[in-house]
Amino acid sequence: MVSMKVRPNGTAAGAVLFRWWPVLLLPLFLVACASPAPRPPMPPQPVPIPDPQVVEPLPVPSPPELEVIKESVPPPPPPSAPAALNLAQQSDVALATGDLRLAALHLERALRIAPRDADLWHRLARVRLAQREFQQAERMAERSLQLRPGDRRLALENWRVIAQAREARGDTEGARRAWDEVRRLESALG
Amino acid sequence: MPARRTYRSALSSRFRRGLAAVLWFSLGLLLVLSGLGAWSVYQLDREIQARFEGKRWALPARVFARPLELYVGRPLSIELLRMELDALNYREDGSGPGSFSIRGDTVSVTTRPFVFSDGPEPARAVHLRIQEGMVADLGGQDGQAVELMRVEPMVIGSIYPAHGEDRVLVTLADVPPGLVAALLATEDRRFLTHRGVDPVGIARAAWANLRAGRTVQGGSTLTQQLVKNFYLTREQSLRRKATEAVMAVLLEYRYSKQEILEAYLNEVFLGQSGARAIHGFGLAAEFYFQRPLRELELDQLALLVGLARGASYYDPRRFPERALARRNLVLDRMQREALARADDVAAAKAKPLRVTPRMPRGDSQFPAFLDLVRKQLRAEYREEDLRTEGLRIFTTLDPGLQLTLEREIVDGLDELVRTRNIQEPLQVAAVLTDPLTGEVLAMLGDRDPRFLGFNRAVEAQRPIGSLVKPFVYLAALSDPSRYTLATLLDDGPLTIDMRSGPWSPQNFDRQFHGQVTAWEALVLSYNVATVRLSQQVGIAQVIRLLQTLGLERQPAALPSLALGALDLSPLEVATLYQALANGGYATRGRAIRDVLNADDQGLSHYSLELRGAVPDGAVQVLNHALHDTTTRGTARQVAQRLPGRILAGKTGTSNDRRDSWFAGFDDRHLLVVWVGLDDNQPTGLTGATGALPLWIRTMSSVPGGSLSLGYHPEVRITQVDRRSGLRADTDSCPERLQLPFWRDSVPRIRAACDVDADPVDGQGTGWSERWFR
Repeated sequence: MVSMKVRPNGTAAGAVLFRWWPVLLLPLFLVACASPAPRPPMPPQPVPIPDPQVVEPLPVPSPPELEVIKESVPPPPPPSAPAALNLAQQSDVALATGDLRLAALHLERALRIAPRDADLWHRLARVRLAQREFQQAERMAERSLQLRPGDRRLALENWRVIAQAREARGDTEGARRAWDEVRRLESALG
Repeated sequence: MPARRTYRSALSSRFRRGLAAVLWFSLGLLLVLSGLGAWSVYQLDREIQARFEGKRWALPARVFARPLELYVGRPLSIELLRMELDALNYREDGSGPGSFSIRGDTVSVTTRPFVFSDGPEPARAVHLRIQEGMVADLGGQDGQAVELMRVEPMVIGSIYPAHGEDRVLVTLADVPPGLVAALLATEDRRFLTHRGVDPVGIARAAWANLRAGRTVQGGSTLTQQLVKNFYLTREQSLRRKATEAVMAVLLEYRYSKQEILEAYLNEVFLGQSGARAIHGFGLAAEFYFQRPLRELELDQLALLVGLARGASYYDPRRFPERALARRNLVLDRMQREALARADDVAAAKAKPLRVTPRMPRGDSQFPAFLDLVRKQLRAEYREEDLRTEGLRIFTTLDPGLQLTLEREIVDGLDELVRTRNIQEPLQVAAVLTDPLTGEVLAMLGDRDPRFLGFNRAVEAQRPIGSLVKPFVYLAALSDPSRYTLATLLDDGPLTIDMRSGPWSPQNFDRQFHGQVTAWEALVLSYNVATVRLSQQVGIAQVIRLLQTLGLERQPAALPSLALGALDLSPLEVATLYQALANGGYATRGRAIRDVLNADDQGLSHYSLELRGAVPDGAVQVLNHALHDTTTRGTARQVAQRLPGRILAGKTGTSNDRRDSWFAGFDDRHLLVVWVGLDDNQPTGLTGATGALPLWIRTMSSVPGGSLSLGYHPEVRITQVDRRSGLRADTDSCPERLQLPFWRDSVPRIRAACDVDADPVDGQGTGWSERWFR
């Protein structure tokens, strides 16, 4: 098992600051993102679940509905647990002081509480990007995309992370595709 | 005068020379001896400093469970909370830190402060209300809401130095004043004034011993006792006594009273548990009372002080009467020396011993989990450092779930043995993880949860049988242009030529089922159809998928792999299934979160990591079938016994019923159970009759939710004819299935039975074209 060695903070602070100044803007960005993104106006509908009581025999009783296809719609995202939000804010504080390690610890703790929170995965993706853990940054941004497919504003930010992570890893072609996605979403969002 | 003459003659020149020689020799000898003495003192002084300045003790690593996080919305039952607090040895209906009380659905808890890798957590007194399986309210005593807090984690084990000395270091600031008072009153009244050796004390002890005719008192100061334990052997000789006295004086010359006292408090031997020696008051408090030293009361402190004179002779668990008399003697001395008030002493003497009856285990209460922790640590730390550096290791173990797992699996296994005629000793292993974070929550490696030895959850590698099938189907479903759950597979007789000869796989029911949908072949676990599918997809492709999901070995690419001719440990199986419960992402399996050094600085952090991924659309489709397995497939007992929960899983049985497996999950937990015999003999149990009942029992006690199989942007759910796998828009076909389809894979062709009934809206503009244009 490989472990992430704890990086000492504050070495060559000037160089780090010069290189990672965007990180200092993260809290601003995250605060800006904290308001709920607009949802597509689709009414939630129950999703068909096979009757759990049916055991034997195998044949499935036909559902009473006449419609052929059950339209599945995205369920609204679960409200973020206040506890997870609290930790996200603590990670912002850590970021503001440049403590990436602590910021990541708070976000990991938050994800243990709310592991399907797309916003938390996005935040951790950004911290991983700043920590130069490019592969993890990309995967976590993808996981964030996966968890909240309808949210284009969040998708835009996730694609930005993916594009930068791919660039840093030398995946030029992948980065180009990701930037295309960024531009597409930018123009769609106006 | 004759005398004078004699004297003169005696002073003959020869004699004078002789005397001078003797005098010179004596002087020389004296110089040499003083030199040697000075040299010895110098050496002793160096020895004292070397040991006292450096690292004084080899400190074992302490292993902690995960802390209990409390927040509104946290799944929790009163029962689990009580288990957790009991495990931490919190006092029910007590007061102060480390206590709790339960009134109906409301629990009041006062926690202890603790330092975590991300900072300190203060002690708190809170009330929480638990309703409908979760924390509904959480507030402080001032009525303010508390958003998030942690209870301090329990110690689940230690990794000791080779000599077995165990201790928990304390500083003078941690020590209740009563302890020091009791210690001085009993062991060394003039400690604060003497210079290492106490002539008055020695004289008094000698007088007392002389009067009694035997040794009843010692004249050693605390400093001498420290020197004896710290630097010298147990040998009883005058020479050692002298060395001890010299070193005691030197120690007092070099170091302050506070430093010497603190060293004594941590060094003194206070008990024994097997090969483990209990040193220092910090650990003794835990060993005898299972509480931190600072929470002990006067009677408890006096008991510990009494042990300093002879921990085995006054062992309160073996000789309670002796220990009680000794404790009361200590209390009397305190009163006599005016170091405690008379009424306090009277109250303390009225109390019983209050020692916890069971000795806390030195190794671990949870040996299987600790074994996994040690294995993961060894990849990165030297054994020596683990045993001596005082590391603090924070793990992922959930004590409540661990105890639940133990109870349910052990009871379930007993029931199995009772109700079925099974050869004993039937063995079991189980792994419970959080698939979303990859954390191992609980583990059982033997039927006896306390057994420290062969850890089947990690070390037993057994054929996994049909547990491999979901991955064969996932490999197929990852190419939706070729395979869906509605794809027809041939479950007719099959023979494959292999190097060892022809191989003809059989179904469990010894029958062939002809053309069946992939859904049916998976849900009912048909072997022949699955082998055919794996041949079409390619065994190499299945192996690649397994490796993407975390398999760290290279299995032989044999056709029988599709039926589980693959030996894995329960932990490895859990790793593979985690991705299915986690949107297709494999996670790094972890038993450790952080390693901190003795000064609370982080050494390693085992971070949350996403590993290889498979498309979540394909996983979503597969999970539908694995859910159907628990409602109407080989594991349909699940829906009967756990109605209302959406779960998914797969049974596994190896050849001749030697291994019985079940692997399944809800939204936050993945549980893998194996049942079998160590000598690999058949048990007569299938996955459904052996492992599954244990899985169900455990999952019914785990506060969990349901899988979300509802929405996915690229998955459409539609009805198909069960026989042909073709679309069935009306209800005129004899049997319809509701199946999910990933991407543009919904069947476009309607089944004959469907078209016959409704020829108008037949071919052409199928809804799928409308959806996927």
